This record gives sequence, C-alpha cells and structure tokens, in this order.
Amino acid sequence: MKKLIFTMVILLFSVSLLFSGNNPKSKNPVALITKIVQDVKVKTDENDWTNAKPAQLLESGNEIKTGKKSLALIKFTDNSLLRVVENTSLKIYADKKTATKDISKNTHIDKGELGFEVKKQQDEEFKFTTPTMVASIRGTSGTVEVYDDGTSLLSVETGEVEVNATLGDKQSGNVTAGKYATVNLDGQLDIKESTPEIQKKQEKTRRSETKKLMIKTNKGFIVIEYYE
Amino acid sequence: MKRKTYFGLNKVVFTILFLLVSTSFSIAQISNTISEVKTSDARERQDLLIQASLVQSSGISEITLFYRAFGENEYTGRDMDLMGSYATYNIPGNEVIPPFIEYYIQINFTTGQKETYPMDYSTNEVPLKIPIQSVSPKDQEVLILSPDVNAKMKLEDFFVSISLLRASDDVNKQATKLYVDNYDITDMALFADDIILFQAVNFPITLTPGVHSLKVEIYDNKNNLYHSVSSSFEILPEDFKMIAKTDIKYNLTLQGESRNENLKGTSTWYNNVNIDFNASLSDWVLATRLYLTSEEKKYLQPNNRFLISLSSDWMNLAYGDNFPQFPSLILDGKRVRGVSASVQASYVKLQVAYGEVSRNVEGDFIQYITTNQMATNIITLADGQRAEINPGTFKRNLLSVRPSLVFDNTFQWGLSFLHGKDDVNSIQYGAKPQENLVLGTDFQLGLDDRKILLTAQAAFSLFNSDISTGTIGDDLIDSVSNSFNIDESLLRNLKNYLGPFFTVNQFMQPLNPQELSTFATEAALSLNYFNNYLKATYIYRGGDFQSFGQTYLRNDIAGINITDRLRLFENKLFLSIGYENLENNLQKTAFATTSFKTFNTSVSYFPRHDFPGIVVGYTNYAVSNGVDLLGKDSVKATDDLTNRYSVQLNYSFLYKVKHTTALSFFFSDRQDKSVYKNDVQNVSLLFSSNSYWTNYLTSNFNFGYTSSDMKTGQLNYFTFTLGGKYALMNDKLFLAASVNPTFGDFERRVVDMNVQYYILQNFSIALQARYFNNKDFKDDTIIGLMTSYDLR
Repeated sequence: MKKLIFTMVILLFSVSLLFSGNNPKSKNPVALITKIVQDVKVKTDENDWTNAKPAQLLESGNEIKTGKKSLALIKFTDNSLLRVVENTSLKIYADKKTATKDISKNTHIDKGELGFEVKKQQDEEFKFTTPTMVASIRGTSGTVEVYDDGTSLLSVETGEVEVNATLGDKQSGNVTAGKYATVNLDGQLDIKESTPEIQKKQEKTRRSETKKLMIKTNKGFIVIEYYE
Repeated sequence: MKRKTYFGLNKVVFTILFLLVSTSFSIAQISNTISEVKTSDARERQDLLIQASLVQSSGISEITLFYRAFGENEYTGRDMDLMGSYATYNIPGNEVIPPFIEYYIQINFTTGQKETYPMDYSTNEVPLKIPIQSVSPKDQEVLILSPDVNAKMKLEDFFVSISLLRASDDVNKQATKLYVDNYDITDMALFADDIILFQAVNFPITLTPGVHSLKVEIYDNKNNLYHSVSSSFEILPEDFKMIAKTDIKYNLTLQGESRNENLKGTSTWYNNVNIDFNASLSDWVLATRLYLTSEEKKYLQPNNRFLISLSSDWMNLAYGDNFPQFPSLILDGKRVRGVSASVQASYVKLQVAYGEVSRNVEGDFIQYITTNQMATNIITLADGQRAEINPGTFKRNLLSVRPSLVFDNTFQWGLSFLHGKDDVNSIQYGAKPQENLVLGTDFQLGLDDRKILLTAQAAFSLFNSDISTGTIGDDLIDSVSNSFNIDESLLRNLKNYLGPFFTVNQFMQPLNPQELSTFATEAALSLNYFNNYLKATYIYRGGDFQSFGQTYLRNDIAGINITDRLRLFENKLFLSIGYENLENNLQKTAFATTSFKTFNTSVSYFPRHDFPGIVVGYTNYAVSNGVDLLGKDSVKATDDLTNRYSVQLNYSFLYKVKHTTALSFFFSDRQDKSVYKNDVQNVSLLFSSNSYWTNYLTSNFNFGYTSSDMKTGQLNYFTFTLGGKYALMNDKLFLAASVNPTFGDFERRVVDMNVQYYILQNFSIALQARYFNNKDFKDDTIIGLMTSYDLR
C-alpha cells in the first residue's frame, strides 16, 4: 500500500512538474536560469513576457530582460555563464551539434550589461552581438555592455576576444586580457588598457550576492530581496 | 503535513563524519603515540587531508608529516596542526599526483626523543602509501550546472541541474541517477533532453541547514555504471538577521578541550582553547587564529599559536605563527613567529619574512670546571670562568627577502636572501650560537600552456657554527689561515667585506668560498604530452649547505632523478617508472663515496566501477660505497640491496548496503652484505572496511598483520578494530565506539568511546574516553571533554 501511495505521489509530482510554470514543456533546452533577483522576465515562442522563475529552462530564441536593481544568472548546457545585470535585454541563440557534443551560442544584447564566463570547447562558437559589433569569444571571461546611444563596450579579464564592427568602417581587432574595446555607430573600434572603472564594472558583474530587507507589518513580515 | 527531514548535517557534523566515517583509507599500525591515521578521498589534484589520532599527546613537542609523490627523491616535511588528540595536515591539491603518495610521520617529544609512524620506519624505511585516483576525462561528460561546487544558498534557492550535453553516445541519459546525501532523488527529477532538473522545494523533503553531497551516476546502454561525479553544497539557515546585511562574510569557530591522561600511573590534565575567525569583503580576506594550551611551558619551544593575516589578489600580510613559502632551498616549511608579507604590482613581486624561529630557553648550570677539560657542554661564562652546563636554546631570528619578476604562469625569476642569527645574549647558559646567510636565485619557464616546464634554483650559504667569540681579530688571522691551510689575504678580505653583515671567524663554513661545499642547486625539466609526463631532475647539494629556513634538506648529495608517468585508457591505467642515481662525499672528505640507486615502478588500474582499484608497486634500492667487503677496510664497507613490493586494492560495492574496503600488502627485504649483516624483512597486511547500514548507522572493521625480522629480533603482531557510529535524535546526538585488540609480540586492548551532542545547531559538546589494557605495564585511560561553537 505504501509503495502504491509513493508511486502515486511520484506520478503526481511528475505530472505537476510537467505542467508547472517553473519548468515549461521545454523540448530542447539550451540553457537555464540559475538565479533571479527582483524583476526578470522571459519571452518565449509560446508566451509573451512573463516573470522568470529559478531553474526555468530556456530554448534558442528566448529573450530575457532585467529591471532596476535586478539580476539573472543564466547557464548554458556547456556550463558557460552569463551574469545579466540590471536594465538589460538580450536574446539567446544556440545550436546543438549532437554528433560532436558541441553547442554554439550567440547572445544578442539590445541594451544593458552582462558578464560572461565561457566554458567552451575548441571548435565551439560563443558570440556576442550588439547593434554595433560581433564579438567572438575565444575564452574565457569579461563583460559586454551596450549604451543607450548604441555604442558597445567589451572588456576582457582572461583569454581573448575577436571583435568586428558591423556598421560604417567595420573595423576589427583582437582584445586580449586586461584590455577593453569600444565600438561606435560609425564602426570604429578603439582598444585600450583596462581602467579602474572597467575593473569595477567587471567586479560588479561578478557579484551575485543579494541583500534582504525585512519589514514587520501587522500581518507579518515582508521580505524584500534586492541586488545592489 | 510535516515535511520529512533527513541528513541535516551542519558543517561541523559534516567535518566530523568526513573524518571519522567517510574516510577513504584508514591505517591502524602499532604505535605508542598514534592510534590511527585517516585520509580524505585521495583524488588527483584535490587536497588530501591526513589526520592522525593520538593515543596520547603528553610530552609531544611537534609532529611532522613527511610525504612524497612517486619518483620524488626526498620527502617534504610539514608540521602537522596539533589540536587536542588529533594532528592534521592538508596536502595541497597540486602535490597530490597519481599513482600514490608515500608518507611517514615523525613525532618529536619534549625530551628530545623521536618516534616514527609506522614505528619501524626508522629501521626499515618502508613508508605508508596512499593510492591516488586520477581524474577522468569522463568527468567532463557530466556537467553540474547547479548548485556550484561548495555553493552556499538558502533552501528556497536550491535546485539541482545537470547537463549531459557532453555525454558519450554510449550513455543512456534516461538511466541517470541523482543522489543527495546518498538519498536517491532520481524519481523526483525532470529529464528534458540534455538537462536533468530537481527542485527540492517542490517535494516533501526538507534539506536542513548544513553541508550536503550530490552524486550523479550515468549508465551505459547496457545499464552498466559508466561514470559518477560528486559535488557538495551548503544550505544556509533561514536568517532574518539579513536586514541591512553588509557584504562582509565571516565565520567564527570556538573550540575548547579539557582532557585527563592517566599514563603509566601518572595523571596529567590538558586544557586547550582554539579560536578561528575569518572574514572577507570583496577580494579581501582576514584570517585569525589563536590556540592556547596548557602545554605551553617557558622551558620548551612555543606550543601556543597565534596568527592574523590579511590577503587580497595582490598582497598578503601575516603576523604571528606562519609558514612562509620561499624557494625550497631557502625557506620552506619552517614556522616563523613574526611578520611575513608579499605584494605584487604588475610584473614585480616582493616577499619578506621576519621573525623568530626558536625562542630562548635558558640552560642549566651544573658545575665550574677548573681543569683544561674540553667538551661541547663546557663554556666560558661572562666572568671568564669555565662551567659545565646543560645547554639551553638561543633565541634565533630570521629575515628573508625575495624580489621576483612574474609573467603569469610563463616566466618567473627571483632572487632570495636569508639571514638568521642566534642572539648570544638571550640566555646565560648556552653553547655554540650560530649564524647563517643564504643567497639564492630561482627561475621558472613554462611553455605551451606549461606542458614544457623548466625550473631551476641555486643557493650559496655561509654558516657559522660558533659566533660566541665574535668576529676574528686580526692577530688570529695568521694562525687560523695556517691551521686551515687557506690564503691569509682571502680570510682578511672575507672579514673586510662580510664583517659588517656576518660573523667571520674560524668556525665559518666555507672558509674558502671557492669550494662548493655550501653550494646547492636543482634543475628540472618536465614534458607533458600525449598523456605522458616525463620529468628529469638534477640536484647538487654541498655537504655544508645550510639554511635556517629549511630543516629537512638532505645534504652532501648529487645526481639525477628521472620519472615517467603514462596514462592509458582514459586515465584508468597508469604506468609509472622512475630511476634515481645519487652520490655523496661531494667534497671528497669521507673515506669513500656512497652511491644510492633507486629503481621504482608502479602499475595502477582504476576501473571506477564494478572492480577494485589496484596499485602494484616495486622498488629496488641499492646502496654501495665500493669498499672491498673482504679487504682491510671491510668495516667501512656499505653494500646493501632492498627490494620492496606492494599491492593495494580499493573497492566500493553494494551488497545490501554500501561498503568501502581497502586491502594493502607490503613486503620489504633488505640484504646487507656488509660485515654488519643488518638484514631486515618486513611484511604487513592491512584490511579496512566501512559499511553504511542506514543514514544513521555506519560501522568499520580493520585488520592488520605486521611481521618484522631484524638482526636484533622479531616483532610479529595482529591488530583488529571493530567500531560503529550511530546518529540519534534527528542528528543531534552521535554515538561512536570501537574496540581494538592487538595480539602477538605486542599485546594491548583499546576501547574507545565518543559521545557528541548538539545543544544548538552550531554548538556541540563531546565526551571522549579511551581505555588501554596493557599487558606488561599499568593500564592507561584518557578522558576528554570537548566543546565547539560555530558562528557565521
């Protein structure tokens, strides 16, 4: 009898899991959200913008956006990590090659900022595209930021990134560890040594710790978690 | 509905279980001081914790772990942390290299006596071995996306996510099994293509705050276990004190112990307090430690310990008892009580260490000497009278500086300086205060992602074995130069140039710097290609080379060492071979030159499932000085050959419940062809088994047989250990007990009992009792009460 009840419970859970909001019926997930702070929304082929949930699976073509004081950590199936900070919107694309166990990834950033830690294999691609550039990551960590005027900034902490401007002069170059590059709307690429300000940005994207504020009310406690 | 709670172990409990239950290898040998040595899981490039349980800690001044990887020509000596009835040392992951690590432990007593573990190491020099399991390329086939290794999180943030993107086509992804704390959660997980998800909050299971383990097993298409990977994570308690929480993370651990040891009829109380406080903010880390013990005595070297250190990515500053790491010929593994600092700006790095390496301990006056009698313990006192004394220990300070150029992992070049000197005024009754100066340089070049690595270091030392008379006077230079047959002008120049920094007199070595007796150098080239690691090393250490910062260096030796390790079949099979040829008598001051030739080989097989891991080793060690065994100098002849064979098996299997077993066999045969005929034969067989009956009950069984046949006699004995541990009251109460009888030439029965109760989740109290029933002398008892508090 106990076994029957246990099996029923498991079945119930499995069914509820399949239909739960946390884990949509993802056929070919390429990534998942491992942490959410405050306002993070996801747009899929089936649904318009909805609140993201921890452990939510993401498929190629899904979009993510973060609000003020918000944060989302996204992990691809190869364990590559994106730290999406506040006021950022992006779209992920990924192509899995079953034969070679590879996954090629492209993250398009409309605006905002993210940090990345890439765990790709030799022949895999990991690209970031912005309105003004395409950055091919050769590994392994850094940040990408798109300003309101469309200018893109890419900083590299470790490894090397090949940057190609997509507009105007279409300049290109390699950004190595400890340097950063800006690409403007005229397609001009400017590579410089990293500054304390850039390092601060890198440090900011590395942080995923949050603060909590508890407010006591007549009806109990309200806990507000936020990312500074 | 009340949620089911299981395996709620906080970190302290986890650590205790880790050390007391989940250890991979446990060795029980006969020793008067160490009852058992346990190790953590021995895996390539992962820290390896060695913990020695002490039978009694009375009269111990220090315990040193000596260890070496396969093919290394000498042991690395490291002081173990003494805390109550345990001594521990964590071998850094970068030194944990397959196929095995050899080790022995040396215990120094306050009386000056020494003992080794195993006890017969001092006669047969057969070390213990820990097989090291290699990393597997299959590890890359299972990616744990969440939680990160050692991640800390609230229960509400916890979920498991596994990616099988890289899994081989031979793997049946749907057959994958997930375990949290050995609890099978597979049925509650969601399989979505390459991703497997498990969310604890959705299920009627609560992970209580503390450290938990996660294991993933993947199976092939024939449903055989293909590979497994493990990780750990920590669930944080729900803590509403997070209001306005700062970015500062901290943890405080307080431990106290009061212990009575009744040994051979003498009762002694020991009281120890240990306080660890660590805090971090951004990349800054503050670490402090204070250890106070009733064993601190003015007439001994310090047993209390204190340390405060501040470190970040680019600097490190420490004050207290620390172990600065400079090149191994200069300063390494030596406790310095003082300041050590390192700072790196761009490509330039500077390391400095300054402090006391031994404190002043006054000697004893015995009697005045009026005759011309000479002895090492007869000194001239300040008033000119000669006296016989029990010499004390001078206070010795040491300064070491090393500037270096560092270009990532590619290139490194450093210059080192070390000066140590005894304070002659620190005690009244002391003999032969000493001084030491070492200059060195070191170099490292790594190419092709360090697959080609060239390292080299060289050092030159000056050593003065008696500075009590100070720098030599001009009037004595003539007579000293005649006595030692050296150029007078050379000695005068030495005094003029070195005098301001170093005490120059007839006790200085070398008096003639052109000799290489105080020169030491090492160079090594390693190539790591095609799963083959080849390393060739050349060493030269003059007979008089001396550094106060390096206690365990073997001098008067030169030669080569070549090792080769080949990995085959996805790191399942290791073939290792090593050859070493060393010679002493470098300055030709001894009667004959002795050669030490060692041939080492080992085959290791780690199939990872359904079959035991096996390490088979063979060592041939020949020592000879070429003196005719039948000639007139036959008493000076050395000619012996030692053959050592070892087989070790480790096997974890399921029979009703999980069992972890280890079986080791060692045979050593030394044939001494010299007139002394010091032949030694040693056989030992060790078996250990841990069984995990339920989440709350574990048991262990050990068996050991040792037989030594020496010229002085035989020593044969059997030893058994049967023990168990039980967790009660929802993991608040832990009971452990064991019996350990020994039969044969050494007879003893030991009963061990431990009770630990968690008053709060972070506050525990434990009672430990040991009873030794000795055959030839009075019974011993040890009773201790320990308490531990953890705050974070």
